[in-house]
Amino acid sequence: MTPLGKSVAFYFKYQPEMLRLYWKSQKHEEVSDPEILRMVEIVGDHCCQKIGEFLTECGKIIETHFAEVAKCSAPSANYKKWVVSCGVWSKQFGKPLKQNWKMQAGVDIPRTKAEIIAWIWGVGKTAAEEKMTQEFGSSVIRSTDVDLPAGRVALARIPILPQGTDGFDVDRDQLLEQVRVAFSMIKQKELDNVYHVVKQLRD
Amino acid sequence: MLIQCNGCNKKWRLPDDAPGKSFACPECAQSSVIPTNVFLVQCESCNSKLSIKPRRAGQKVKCPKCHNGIQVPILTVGEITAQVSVTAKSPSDSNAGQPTTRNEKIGEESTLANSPKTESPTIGHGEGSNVGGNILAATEVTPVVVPSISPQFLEDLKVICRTVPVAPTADLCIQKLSTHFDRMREETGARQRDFRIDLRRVFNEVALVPEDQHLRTLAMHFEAWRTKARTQMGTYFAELPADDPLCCSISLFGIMKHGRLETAHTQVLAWLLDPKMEHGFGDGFLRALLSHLSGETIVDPIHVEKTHSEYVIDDGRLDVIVQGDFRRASDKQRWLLLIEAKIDANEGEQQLRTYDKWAGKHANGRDVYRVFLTPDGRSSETAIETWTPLTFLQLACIFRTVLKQQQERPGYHFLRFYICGVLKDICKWSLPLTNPETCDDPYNFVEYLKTVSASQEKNS
Repeated sequence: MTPLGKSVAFYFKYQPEMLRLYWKSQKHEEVSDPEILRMVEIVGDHCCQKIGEFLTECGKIIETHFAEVAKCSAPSANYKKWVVSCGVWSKQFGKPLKQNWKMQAGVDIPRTKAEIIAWIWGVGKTAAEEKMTQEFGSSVIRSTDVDLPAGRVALARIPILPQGTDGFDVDRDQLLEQVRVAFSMIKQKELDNVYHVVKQLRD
Repeated sequence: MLIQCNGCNKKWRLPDDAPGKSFACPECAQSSVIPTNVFLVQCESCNSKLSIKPRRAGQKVKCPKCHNGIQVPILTVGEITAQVSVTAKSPSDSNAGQPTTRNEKIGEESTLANSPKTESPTIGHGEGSNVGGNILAATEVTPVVVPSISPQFLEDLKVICRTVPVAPTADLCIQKLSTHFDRMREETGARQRDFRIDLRRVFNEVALVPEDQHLRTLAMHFEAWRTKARTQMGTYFAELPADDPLCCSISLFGIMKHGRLETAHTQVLAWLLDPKMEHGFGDGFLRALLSHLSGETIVDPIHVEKTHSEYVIDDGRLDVIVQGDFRRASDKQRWLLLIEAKIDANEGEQQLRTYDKWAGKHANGRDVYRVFLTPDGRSSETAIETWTPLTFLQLACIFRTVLKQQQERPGYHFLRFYICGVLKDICKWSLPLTNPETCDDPYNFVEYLKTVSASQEKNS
């Protein structure tokens, strides 16, 4: 077992408190001891570092999978927003310009929810979502149900803290395996079908 | 440049502008002046005599005639500073760089490990920072001698690390920052390496790994804070009427999957702010919003000339525009209210600047209230004038303060569902509120209800 990092588990267990003290730097009379606030900084910084490392691994998974079923760009991560993504295109077409991606695949970790969202995006908002739902199966979740921007569907919502976890030990390998499984449901044929449609669409 | 102290034989790295300045050896305290006169160095390959500036001491240079690599010797300084004349040897020679005149025994170059323990110089803005003076103190022997780091430097570095999304790991972060540094300063490889070493030390200081004990202590504090908030929430919850939006589960637009549709919200907003509409609230919400924006309770009669949503102007559409005046005994105070809402989108190019220009032309001496309505209360990036940032939660609070007086009006239940939708779909609250004891995030509720309660008391 490779630990995800105790600070990550701690962050999500006490997300409302960490959001206020670490991200928003709010002052609260209940937690005003400078030493405690210093600990908050240390835990928050370390959490960001660990999330960054995790997203790097997710980027590798995405790159490996989509290199098989399609073509994809190198993962581009935004460690501030806790998201990693790759541009994806069908093997039957040339590489589009970066600002003109028709499809993307990525992983989000919302700061306010202890979950990992593996997603795929197509240009064309709801029309793209409809096509992806049709091709990738009914298990995909539409953007409105998972708080994603229009055009993205979630392939999986993976809880970071397993039910009944008391401590701060979370298995990173298990989470990465679930991310891998989520993307493995995308096959070449379905992706080609989606790409043919979204290529004609605009946002 | 590299120098060697004549008193203790220690080697020190100094800034390139050191020649001509005084130097106090941090090890033996012997002081001397760094010479400004040139070296005479003879190339071993072609026997040419080269004049080398003191700042090149300890570095490698190329012979301009035969392009042979020459190791410039380290400058020896001490009580007597004299011109040094040497025969340079090729870098491959094991004795290269050693002066031939005196000090045959050369000590190890001072590093972080054997840096002096007498003073603790600091990087950056700390008190020990002394860069730029005429006297070269130990503090200026950088970057080799860096025994401690000022708290201000650490704070600044934290800000940089947080605001620049550079890299996820210390290694990548350091690599990227040092490359950036190198590109900016066009320093030599050695300087880049030194900077990287310093940066790693700093990074290790900043990126501390929290210990289990830290986590337990923090958890204890957070649990106590959460329990207190839940108790406060319970008190407020007990006083909530059954038809309060917090106890409601129906989101007006959520049921149509349009919970975050911008135009739906702005059209409802324009409708609620129009006193003539069939909701029956009169100017209640407009008065509450204008009071919030002006910072004073408005009691004068309000006359509204026009209210529009998606109002087409020269180069865009204003989400909401309301125009009217306050009728006072002796005069009229004319105003114009502009609201631009953004939920999941960003501002268009020059968007608010365009609206500002339009308002400048069309305000005709009215007071202009500008509101930038977003989920997170961010400021506008494209405006010229000041647009008051307003969150949807603040908007819900403003409407909620006058809700109680509107129970008999035709639009009352519509408004309940609308406020519930704002809280559920835009603020992402988990509604209906059932049991405060199990609420994971009681802070939002407490803050919201506290604000509403305070406003109601003020109004009454």
